[in-house]
Amino acid sequence: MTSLRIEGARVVCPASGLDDVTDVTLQGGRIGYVGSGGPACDETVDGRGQLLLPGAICLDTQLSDPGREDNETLAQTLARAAQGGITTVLGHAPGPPAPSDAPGVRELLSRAETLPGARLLMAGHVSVHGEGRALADMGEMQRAGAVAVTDLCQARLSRSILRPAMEYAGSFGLLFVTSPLDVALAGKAIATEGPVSTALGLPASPAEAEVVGAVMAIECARRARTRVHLAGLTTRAALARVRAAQDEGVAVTASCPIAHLLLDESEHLRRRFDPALRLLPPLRAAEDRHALIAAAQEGAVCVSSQHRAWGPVDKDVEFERAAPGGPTLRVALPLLLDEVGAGAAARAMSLLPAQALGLTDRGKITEGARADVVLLSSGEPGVGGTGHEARARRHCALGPMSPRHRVTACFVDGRRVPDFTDGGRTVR
Amino acid sequence: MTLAHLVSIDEHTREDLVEILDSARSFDELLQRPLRKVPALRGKTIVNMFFENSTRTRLSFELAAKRLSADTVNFSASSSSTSKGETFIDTARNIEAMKADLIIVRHEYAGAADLLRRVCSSAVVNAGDGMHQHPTQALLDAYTLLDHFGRPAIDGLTGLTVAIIGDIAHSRVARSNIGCLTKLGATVRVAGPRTMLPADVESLGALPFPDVDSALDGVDAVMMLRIQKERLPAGRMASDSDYRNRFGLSVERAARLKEGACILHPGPINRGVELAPEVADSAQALVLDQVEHGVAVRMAVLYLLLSHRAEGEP
Repeated sequence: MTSLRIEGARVVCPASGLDDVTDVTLQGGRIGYVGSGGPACDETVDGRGQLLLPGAICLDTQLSDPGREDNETLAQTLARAAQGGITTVLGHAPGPPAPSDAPGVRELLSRAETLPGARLLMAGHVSVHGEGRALADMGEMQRAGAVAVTDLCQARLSRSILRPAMEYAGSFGLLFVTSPLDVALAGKAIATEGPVSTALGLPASPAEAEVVGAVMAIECARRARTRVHLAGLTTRAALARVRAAQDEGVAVTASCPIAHLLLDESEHLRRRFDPALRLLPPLRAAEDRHALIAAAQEGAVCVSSQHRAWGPVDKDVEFERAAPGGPTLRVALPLLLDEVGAGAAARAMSLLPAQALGLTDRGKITEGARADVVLLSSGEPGVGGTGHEARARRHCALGPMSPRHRVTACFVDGRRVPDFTDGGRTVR
Repeated sequence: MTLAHLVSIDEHTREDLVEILDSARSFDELLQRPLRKVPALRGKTIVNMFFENSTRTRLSFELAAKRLSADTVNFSASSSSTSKGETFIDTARNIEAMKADLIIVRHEYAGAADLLRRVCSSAVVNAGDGMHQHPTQALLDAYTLLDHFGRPAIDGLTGLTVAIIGDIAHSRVARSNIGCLTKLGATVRVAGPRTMLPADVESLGALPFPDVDSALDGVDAVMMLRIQKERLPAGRMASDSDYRNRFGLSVERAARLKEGACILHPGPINRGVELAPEVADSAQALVLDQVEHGVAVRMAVLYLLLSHRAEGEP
């Protein structure tokens, strides 16, 4: 395996406290040396004027493959993640034929092994066929390689078995990923109750639907003594409950979708009934967004892409019928960088997600860690885009935003992710 | 008119509304003549695209278009390709490809008319989208009030107080009316069960009242909303009789209204629920006037949108 040195970049690693212009050597799939004057290398990369961060880790990426390859193949998901500086994705799939059993998990992981791009970790369905009733074979899924189980993007787990499900997952050391949204209170709402939903006549539920669900999950986690991750945390109140629980020693972490960190519900008044703004949870009040930004800056919450690769069939429809979420893998890290700066972004998208997963080998640029790093330049915001990129922008809530930061190179296992190809065809 | 479509009252200025209402006056006069047809939109094609059931609104638009000599085509979701799985956008584009100049749309989802104008170049008139807007209903209600109080459109409704009673939260009629009436200078009160009043209803421009009797005290007009059971989520309403007794316009409540006050209802009426039958049939109730004025107001809307287009305006 060749060695490679990235020279002269501003290297930011919250785990070690490093924020300096220096060199980083990648050797044998690991970070070999951090600092100038390292060993001789086969290849050097000029990082001057650029930023070098630990590769980002997304804890909430919905896979479209198998089942909806028309929207995005697994190869495309992993390539697009790397294009956005995400080197590890925790993938979950939206119902049958998605993996709710060990063979499904094993098959996806096996396919991902051969693909360039981000590394795939799997969150299996917590219930059989994602139906929310009977517990899936979590033990077998863990043996097949799953690191987590989840009820995201499927029938939510019945309240009566939430805690047993957490306990069962904990038996195998699996991370339990769930949404803080209380299904009964949220109902079929597509907006947050308030002046915006009132003005536009949108079916709405109160923001309290989230704090109620968060409290329930936290209290179950406290009893179950299982690591629980709340994906899609979007309100100040729920955030406060999570932080309080963490202070009390409950093993709960949370991630906020990038869209909710950058947009609030007033966006609906600027882009009326734009299906790209159909999100789950719905966009929240400005004060919630400000609380999320503060938490990201303080290192109290992870930030996820909440990537959903919906296509025209799912998004070019009436606002109320549009599938929730949009394609965000390529813009999440650059936009977060623009908003909170390098140190906070690296903490929220690299270090904290690694800790939530219980992984000590990534999310940092220290000697011996996996050589997953991303090099970014900054400058004038990019414009336009064609083909897939234009479509992705149209279907993404963040589409009108153009990041100032741009990924120039992404390294996974010490290897530069190649030209983002999918079976010989360039992924656009 | 400053806009090429009529999708939501809040996109239009008071001047736009006055222009429509002024124009409606001329068409109303025309409709009183023995020959009620003019060639104003001859050669134009207007499509009624209704994805929700409707009798009076669809007929009113169709009649308005016919009175203006436009060719009209009716489309209903149950007898179309949408029942075979065609998307809303594809349906709209197909209709537009048949050279429709104007599309009137009613849909169960808020924002459908907005989507239609984004994907089509035809003029779009919103005939009701989910809980969002029903602008021509608000305009015909305003016209009825102007007519009842003998005011020209330019004077608006300044100095008048209108109470809207019932399910404000789930009503596109209420949303449109609050916007339209306040733009024309009226004060708007609202009252109803708290399950049907948005907590932030004041952000729409209406004054919430704690009960129906205080809301009706001294008003010039009362608009009773239909209880829309088809749109009402569970847990928002008890029995019809509980609603009738606490929130309905009974004979006794109607008798306490200020002299000269009028009663409006967008129809269809749930007799004996929001409106006592005797009140619905009384001289105070302008329900049939509203229906009659609906045709004139819609003629004005169709005429103004299409004639401005013909002049090359946006």
